[in-house]
Amino acid sequence: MGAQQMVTERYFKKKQTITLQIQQTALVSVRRRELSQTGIRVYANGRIGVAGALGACDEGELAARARENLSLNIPYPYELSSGSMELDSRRGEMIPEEDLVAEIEEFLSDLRREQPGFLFFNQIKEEWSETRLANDKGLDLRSQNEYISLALFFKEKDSLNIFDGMVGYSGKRYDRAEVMNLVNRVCAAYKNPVALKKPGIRPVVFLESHAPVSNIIHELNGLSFGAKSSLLAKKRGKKVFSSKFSLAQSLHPDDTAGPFFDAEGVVNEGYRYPLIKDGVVLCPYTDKKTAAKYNLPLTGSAVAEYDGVPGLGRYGFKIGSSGRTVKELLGGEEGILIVMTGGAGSTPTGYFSLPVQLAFAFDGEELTGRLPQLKVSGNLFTMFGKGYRGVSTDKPTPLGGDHFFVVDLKVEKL
Amino acid sequence: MYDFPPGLYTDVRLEKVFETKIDFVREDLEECTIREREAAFIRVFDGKRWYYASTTDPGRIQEEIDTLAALAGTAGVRGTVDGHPVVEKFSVSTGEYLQFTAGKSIVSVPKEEKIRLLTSYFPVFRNVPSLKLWRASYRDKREEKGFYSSKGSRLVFDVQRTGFVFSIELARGKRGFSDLFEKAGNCFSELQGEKENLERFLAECTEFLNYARPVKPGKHTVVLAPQPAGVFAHESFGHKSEADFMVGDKKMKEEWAIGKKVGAAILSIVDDGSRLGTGYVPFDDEGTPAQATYLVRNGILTGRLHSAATAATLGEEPTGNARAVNFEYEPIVRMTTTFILPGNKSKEELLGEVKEGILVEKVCYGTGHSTFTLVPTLAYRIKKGKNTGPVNISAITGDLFTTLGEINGLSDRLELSPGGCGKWEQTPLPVGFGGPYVRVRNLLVQ
Repeated sequence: MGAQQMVTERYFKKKQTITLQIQQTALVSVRRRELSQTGIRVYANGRIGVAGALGACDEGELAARARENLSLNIPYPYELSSGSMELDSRRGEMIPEEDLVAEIEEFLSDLRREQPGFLFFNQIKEEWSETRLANDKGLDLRSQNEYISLALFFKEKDSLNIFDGMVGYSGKRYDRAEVMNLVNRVCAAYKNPVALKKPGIRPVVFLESHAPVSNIIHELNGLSFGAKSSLLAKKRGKKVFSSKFSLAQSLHPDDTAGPFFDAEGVVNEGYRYPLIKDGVVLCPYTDKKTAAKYNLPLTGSAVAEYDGVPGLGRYGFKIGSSGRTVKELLGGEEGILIVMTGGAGSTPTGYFSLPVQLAFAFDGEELTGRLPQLKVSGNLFTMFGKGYRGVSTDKPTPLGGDHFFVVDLKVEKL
Repeated sequence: MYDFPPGLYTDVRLEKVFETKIDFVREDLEECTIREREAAFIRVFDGKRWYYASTTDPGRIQEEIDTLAALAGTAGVRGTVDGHPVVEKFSVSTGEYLQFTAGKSIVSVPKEEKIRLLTSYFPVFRNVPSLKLWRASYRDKREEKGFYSSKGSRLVFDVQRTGFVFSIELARGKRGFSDLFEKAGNCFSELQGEKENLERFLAECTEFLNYARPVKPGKHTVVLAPQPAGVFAHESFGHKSEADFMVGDKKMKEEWAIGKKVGAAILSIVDDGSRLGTGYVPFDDEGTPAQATYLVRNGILTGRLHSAATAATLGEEPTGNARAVNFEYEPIVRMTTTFILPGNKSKEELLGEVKEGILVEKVCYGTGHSTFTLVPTLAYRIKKGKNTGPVNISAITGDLFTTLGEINGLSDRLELSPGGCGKWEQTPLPVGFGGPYVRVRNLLVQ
């Protein structure tokens, strides 16, 4: 950026959300929220100044405040993004706003009739969002999105637990019959307690969104990688994991309910950036500053609040598909499908343990019963090495984006 | 003030917020944001269902009230709200309770002084072998809340929190270690004088990186330091004490009958929103004054945490625990400052009585309900009452009620820590938690 040249950038976010709260399998509240946020960023002489406001605002006044904030001397000597693109990821397959309350009341009525032994609570939410990032260097990115989230906790009426399990999905489609089918399958399995047939190394199945990849993602932070505090820092270009394991940073509309660009306006080809490919560590995730400082590829992983300076953050991740169904990945063995855990812990040496409060026996097609409370453990590098089986092509429900994630871990009764 | 529609219960929570966010990566300033906003949350109750809206334009509050009232009217139950048990439970609070003003207000502290405070600790991080990366963050927030209800509440009060966090990443060879040092309070002046504590923390982390050995998995006697003890009290028992989990649930209500023995006789757990610290809230978000609620006294279940709605349903009284994370959400039953009361042993006595066990000084997080989990960062092996070196532990797990009965020793000094709590979609809500050193037998350590 040339000296004295001042560039102004506008970051605008708008969300409309309707949330229905459920208690005792009945609708108890309706919350409507419409929120907009505007941020103005000013770039000059290798520095950035930002100011923002909620709701309706005077953007001239914000720009003046942003210019004042250049005096904080926060460096930003990076090339600004340019280019224009609009992506509308709305599909119109959710429940129309005006029908939402009536539809959910009917769904809950069906649920009370079909599952009289259970109580359901928590919430059903629909959200529509828009994000726009534009500057006077020609950048103009606009994203429109939507999602429905159905997250129900359930308990048997005579249970002493706060809740016994959970069922739901997040996606862009609603179909009452499909939702009921999912709930009924889970409740039927819950009502059928079975023993853990064989403790030891077993195929453990997670929903893809709950796959235990957080430690790997932590090690792929560009700052930690560049500063050499990451265990993977010296492994770039080397094969560390199973050749079946690939991981990409993703803002693909199929993988996220957010915009397809990051907070610095970076758009990746196919909206994904590969970080691990066939077991080989390619690069960490980075924003412009981290990429420049440590001479790393720019992966477009800058986040920012509406009134904040863009900085390195974390978006969604996509694990590469195995091209096989979960039944094929199980290879005739009984899988342990993890539904509810007490939080995973790991040591600095990679030992990993997970107390499991609810798991189902799973043959790849049907949930065949509820297992006792379990302890699942293993080593992180083994789990993604010889113990890694893959991510399935099929899903627990056609309504959501989640696939199945299968690894071998040690399974014992808690 | 507002034209509240007849026949319905309505309240308005108006939030005026000032907050500061300052971030450094090593010694480079990355962000310095000062945010001021005014926004409101509106609730309307028709006796059957709640209707909520939020707005960032206080000029539109009346319009939002009228819109929600029209929605409530469609349920066909208008006119039934007077005398409704929930409405009867709402406090009528009036007056102005502002204590973080003038010199006590973080608004009066210039941002340069906040930056100076943070940078004054930077020399501690220079020349630390193995320290590969560190970050420093300063946060403060002063909220002035107005609460106005159709029942007559006309209330203004303030809350304020300020604090800093240093996060560190150490590495040596194939070993890595990361942790956080936090300090928080209500006023800026509380953040001074942490240099020695920070130096001690860095030394402990370095020792951990260099010398930690894997723990022998199995059941151990564990001594929880005040921070892990507080996380345990919060996650395991505190959440179970939140009465919204019992509403309409006969079995839970029977099981959680007041007067039931739930733990060792030396165990008492309290939640207290009136206690200064990060969980301080003089009134909750529906205008009920804060109070100290004994959840457990001498091992006996003595209370639970309520909003007006849960108190009405269970036939008890509100406790000042209806809290919302911000103007976008309705208040739900939440904890404030939750802690285990101290006992009568010195810390040295408590540890000295352990033949073989584990001392957990710090955890990075915990989860709770019937089975709880604590994930330690700093933990040590104890032999014949002595600390014999750091151990790597992935998780400590136990069944709540069994564990409460296995507590067999408490030290004599209460220490509180800052914390954040997540419940459903509302996270993070500032809370406080703590306790003395707490000794527990037969915890599963992995």
